[in-house]
Amino acid sequence: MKCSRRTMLKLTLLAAAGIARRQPLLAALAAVVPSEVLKPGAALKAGRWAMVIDLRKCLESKDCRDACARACHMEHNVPNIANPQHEVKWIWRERGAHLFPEQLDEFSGAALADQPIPALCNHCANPPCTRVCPTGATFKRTDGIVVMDPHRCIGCRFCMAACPYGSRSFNWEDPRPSLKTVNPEYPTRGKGVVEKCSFCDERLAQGRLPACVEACPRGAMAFGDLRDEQSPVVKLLRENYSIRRMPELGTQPAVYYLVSK
Amino acid sequence: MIDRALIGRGRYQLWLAGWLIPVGVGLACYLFQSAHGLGITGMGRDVIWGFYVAQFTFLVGIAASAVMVVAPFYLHDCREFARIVILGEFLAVTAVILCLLHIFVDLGQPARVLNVLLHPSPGSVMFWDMIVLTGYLGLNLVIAWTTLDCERNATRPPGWIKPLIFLSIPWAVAIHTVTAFLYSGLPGRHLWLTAVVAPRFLATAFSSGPALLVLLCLLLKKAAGFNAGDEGLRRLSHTIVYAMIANLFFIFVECFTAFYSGVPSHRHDLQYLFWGLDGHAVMVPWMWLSLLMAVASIPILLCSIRRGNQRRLALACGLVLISTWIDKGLGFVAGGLAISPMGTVTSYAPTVPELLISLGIYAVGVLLLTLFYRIVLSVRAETESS
Amino acid sequence: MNLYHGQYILPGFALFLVVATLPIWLGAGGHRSDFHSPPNRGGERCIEPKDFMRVEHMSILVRWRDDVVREGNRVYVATDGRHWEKGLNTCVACHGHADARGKSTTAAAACSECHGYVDAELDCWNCHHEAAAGAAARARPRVWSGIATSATPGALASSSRREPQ
Repeated sequence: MKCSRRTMLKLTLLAAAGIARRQPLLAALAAVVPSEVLKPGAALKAGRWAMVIDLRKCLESKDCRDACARACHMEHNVPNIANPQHEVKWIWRERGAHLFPEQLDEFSGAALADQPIPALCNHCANPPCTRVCPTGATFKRTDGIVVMDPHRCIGCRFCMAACPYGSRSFNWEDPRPSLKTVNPEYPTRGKGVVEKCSFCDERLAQGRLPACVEACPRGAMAFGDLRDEQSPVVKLLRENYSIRRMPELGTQPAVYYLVSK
Repeated sequence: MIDRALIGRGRYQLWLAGWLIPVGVGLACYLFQSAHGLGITGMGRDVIWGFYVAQFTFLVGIAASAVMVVAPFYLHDCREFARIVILGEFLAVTAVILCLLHIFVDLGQPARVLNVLLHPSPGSVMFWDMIVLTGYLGLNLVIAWTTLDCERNATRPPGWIKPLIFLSIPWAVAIHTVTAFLYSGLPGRHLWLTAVVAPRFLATAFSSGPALLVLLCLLLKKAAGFNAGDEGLRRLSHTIVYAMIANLFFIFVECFTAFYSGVPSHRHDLQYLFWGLDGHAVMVPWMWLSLLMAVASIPILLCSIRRGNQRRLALACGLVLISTWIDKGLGFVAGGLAISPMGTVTSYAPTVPELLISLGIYAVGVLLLTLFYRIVLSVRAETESS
Repeated sequence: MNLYHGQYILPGFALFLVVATLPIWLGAGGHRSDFHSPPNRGGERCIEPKDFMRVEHMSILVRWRDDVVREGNRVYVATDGRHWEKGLNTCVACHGHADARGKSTTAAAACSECHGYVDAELDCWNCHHEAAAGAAARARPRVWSGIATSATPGALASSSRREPQ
């Protein structure tokens, strides 16, 4: 087959564009017609999604029975696995001492260290997990959400090594036997792939807030667009002092915690 | 030349057949793992990498160590290595194959492994690791096979082999540096978040690889009457001892930074490994054993170099090999993950199926090495008799 | 021709030929000409005509997978202008249903009828749901309820594009 120089240049540029945009090489070489991007009017859009967890409300009383975690896990078919080393969790309550080790001192027990505080994927602006993924199975969307594509994941767990927050879970076994109730609107995952909080992008597409935000009986979780001055998160952050987990690592997390009055 | 691999006396056939048994057992365990998921290993949400990745790390070092015979021989014309260069290259080929096998069995979705090539991610160190390892495999295989073939035909190697050989020298350093970068660029893993990981990897590689090569040469002498050349083994001993001294120096400077600065994130992992933390002390005896063996190997090596005593040499190489295996193959990976991002300590121990799968892979390595070295020895015997 | 060890090689080669062609021997006598569409209990027309879907359904699904998960693009505009939510549930809503016990046998079984025959293994159902649970969901097509925007209908960003007839 004779390949003219012109064709060669075209193919090279297409291939390079394919690599640069992380598209499958094969699709890059084929004639690409972009699909129309339809955003129905109901969908929520943002420049950068973020969450503010008001610990003053969250810790008012601890009898919410982990409403946030239960709502999230039920919605997304997250299995309830008995072996703690095999557990899968998208959002859970963790001792403050484990979330904010740099804040600890002999006086911080009552306020922070011993409290159960929600932890989830921080959807960082500079995420180490997306940097290391060898297949592009996890990547950062333009609206700030760090997406996990379970179809492409090869289960190497490099993202789990890279995440400094321990937000990610791996399916060490088939999750389905551990699922008591199944939400048919959302798929499960299979064994051998990583999963984590998705900021409920499927709910955002329908104009709804994340499941945990809706489920919190104290309304302690605010969710919105950091680029929108009118959003609840920006208002809260402008009026209150907030902390984030391990800011010194440069990850720029999008989950903020309000700690004091 | 491949036909020479299977021709041999009954004892040889028995050796080959015998090593097929652990391969079969490992394969059966792997099928079990495929069916039930990676949960059958000792890994978990906190210790997400375990025995497989640790063996991979150790074996990359062995593979990279070929440069310690290739470079002196081809770049600096050290004739002492003339008889062992080919053995080092085939050892590198085998080691890389075992690396790739260990990674394969560690994947949660191995059928999708080609996604790394279908959806290249140049920002990911693991993507580059796959590229450089495969490239190194191809390079060494071509170089070794061509040079051996030319030796058999008593012809000069073709001109194009020289640039490939020169390429394989920095490439060897590259494979282990890239593997080190898998670890040393992760912000939350403080045992690994230090620049000394790459130099220390190279130091352990350049001591353990030649040590294994020396042991293999001594074994071949006993089993097949192969004479590697005493001068060559002596030169290798130099490499081993100085690389081990460098390794110990790196461990010392690591410990100084960790303990003198007192920063908890720097300190805790080393504390876990050498003294135990929060009641978890399973690694402690292993790490001290590794350290003591490493320290002990140095005077024994120096002595064997002076006296030309090959029994002492074998002992010292065994100490070096076991010490670096414990260091990289047990301590490094599990030690880096033992303290979770939440600050809790989780001890890791591999399960029996996990060990059997890894043993099966090592058995594949023994078989491959046997076949390769059989070919080399038979070609040597033929050319030397004619 | 002088073949060393010929008494082993020739019969061995013949045995190999027999074993290698076993699928043909074992499959001989069977002939499928009765492929039919998966049963459609939903009552709604499929997103595209049958002949088009027969050829393109995998391209559509693969394209939808990347559109939804990676691009956040969840609406499919069919050639007849209807808007559909991209997802396997859209297909399952009609092609899968729950029986009296609440367990579905239809969607995965329907796909497996052809996929099993041609041995093109499906692992979708490891994660995706085979049935739309409940009678209410059974008949509901997954038509998108949002506000439609103007767009070129039926455009598929796959390399094998064919206009449905």
